[in-house]
Amino acid sequence: MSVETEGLGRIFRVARDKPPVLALQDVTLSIPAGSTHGLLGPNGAGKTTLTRILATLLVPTSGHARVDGADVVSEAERAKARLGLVLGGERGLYSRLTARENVRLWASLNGLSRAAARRRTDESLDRVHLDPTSWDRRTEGFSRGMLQRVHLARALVTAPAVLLLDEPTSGLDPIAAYEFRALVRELRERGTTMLLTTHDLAEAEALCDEVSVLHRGVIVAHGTPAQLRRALGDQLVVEAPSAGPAHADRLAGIAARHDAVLEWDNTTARLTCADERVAGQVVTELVAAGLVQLTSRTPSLEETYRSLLSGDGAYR
Amino acid sequence: MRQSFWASAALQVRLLTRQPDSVAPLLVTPLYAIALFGFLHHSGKSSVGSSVFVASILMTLWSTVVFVGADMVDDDRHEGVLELVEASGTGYLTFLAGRIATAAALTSPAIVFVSLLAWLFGVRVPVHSPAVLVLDVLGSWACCVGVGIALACLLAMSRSARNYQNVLTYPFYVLGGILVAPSALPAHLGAVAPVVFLSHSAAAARAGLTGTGPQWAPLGWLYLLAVLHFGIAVLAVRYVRRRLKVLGTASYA
Repeated sequence: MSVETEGLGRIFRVARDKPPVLALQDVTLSIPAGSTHGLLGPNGAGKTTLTRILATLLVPTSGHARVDGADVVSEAERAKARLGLVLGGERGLYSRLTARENVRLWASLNGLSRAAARRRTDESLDRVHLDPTSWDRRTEGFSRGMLQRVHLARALVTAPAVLLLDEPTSGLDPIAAYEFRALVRELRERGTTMLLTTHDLAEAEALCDEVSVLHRGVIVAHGTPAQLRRALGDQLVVEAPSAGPAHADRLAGIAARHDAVLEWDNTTARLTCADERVAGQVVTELVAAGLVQLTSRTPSLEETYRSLLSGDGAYR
Repeated sequence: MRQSFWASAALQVRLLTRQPDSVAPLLVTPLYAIALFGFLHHSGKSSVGSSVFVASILMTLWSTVVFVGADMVDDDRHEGVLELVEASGTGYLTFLAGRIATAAALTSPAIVFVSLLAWLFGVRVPVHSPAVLVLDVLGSWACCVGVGIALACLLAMSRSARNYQNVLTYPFYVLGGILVAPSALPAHLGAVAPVVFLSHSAAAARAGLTGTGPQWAPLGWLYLLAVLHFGIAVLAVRYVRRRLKVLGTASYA
């Protein structure tokens, strides 16, 4: 396994007069070499805490974590040498240095000789498809998308066994995010082991072999994106795109009678039904209500995710 | 570790040259030298010319280390690189040492500049013992690196490092016996001077220039304090790293 955690826990004691905050609780994960693992969860779920523990920036209060066989606490230096870390956002680079200087600095700080640092820097910048005319420009004028490419090149320059990507597309415009995902997909195809934390379920579905859903520091679901969807049993989603406020009461009644979950997206009503039989009864009533333009499908990962965290957040 | 040290040193040179205002202390203190030499010129007390010369150079060295140390912490925090350095293979101690040693070494042009000012004001600065002066410069530089690292760690724990810049400069010029010899200070203040390396640095420099007073004793104290300061720096870095890993933040704020 490239990344392993066993009963990992982390408690933050913010102040003496305040109760401790439980950020992670009994997190056990195994990420095989060459796979991409997605870590999903809302803000405050514990994703960044887990990433920081694996990056040796935080010590856990219980349990163990290993990166490529190195314990992140007792063998932190060995673990660091096997890791590449990419943080989301604009920070993490010296804005007064050029892209090439930034990447070369991190290569040298990780012990690469001058010649190796120079060679690997050019390889990394090339690998992330940063326009060569930008290599010798200061990063202070870079777009978010360009900055994120430099971040990735910086993390790749040491040829790490494991890449930790902490919300790497956060704040990127859709095109930059799409291009960054394409880069991650390329790395995945080359067999790089990655842990990707994200809010974006479509991103996790597109890039990850397996996904863990964290909520309030606890893994509430784990599996392939398809398995997570199946975790909700035979649920079916019935959508009525042309429904409007005039149908609201009627639809609420149908949902209540059949124990379906009703959600609205503008004028589209979405009813999540327990199984195919219930979905059939719902469709019959919707047609009787005058809604003939209907579609049915299996839930998307996003709907699965919302369902997993619904109510008190317990896995249902 | 050697690569990390030189990479940090090269980083500091690049950052300083690309933001010229960060070398402001190098320009400000010689301006004080102009004022001090001006007073000296008009008072006719040329006997204290060497003291003014030494004071100007040590003020430049100390203020540069304090200002650069504080700016370094603020800039690294602003750029969000503090944690990434910790996550890299290099030690934070090596990273800080490379950068602060470079910043301190870059104050050396101040020696030439202040010498030129002394010449312009007609102040004759004799050189009695070049060896003592060279050893004094090296010892002072080593002390500055140790103090600079410890200060950077201290400032990393505050919300705004810049607030402490002035607090850490002018009182030390007086308490460190730079502007006034410790013997001329009130007894309770003079007693503090020996623990501030600047007092030994200034005493050795005055002795090296004029040949008056002990030369080797202040140098001995200077090197002893350099070792002590470096030990404190190592402990300070360990403390900040531990704090970062346990609390998730280095800052108290």
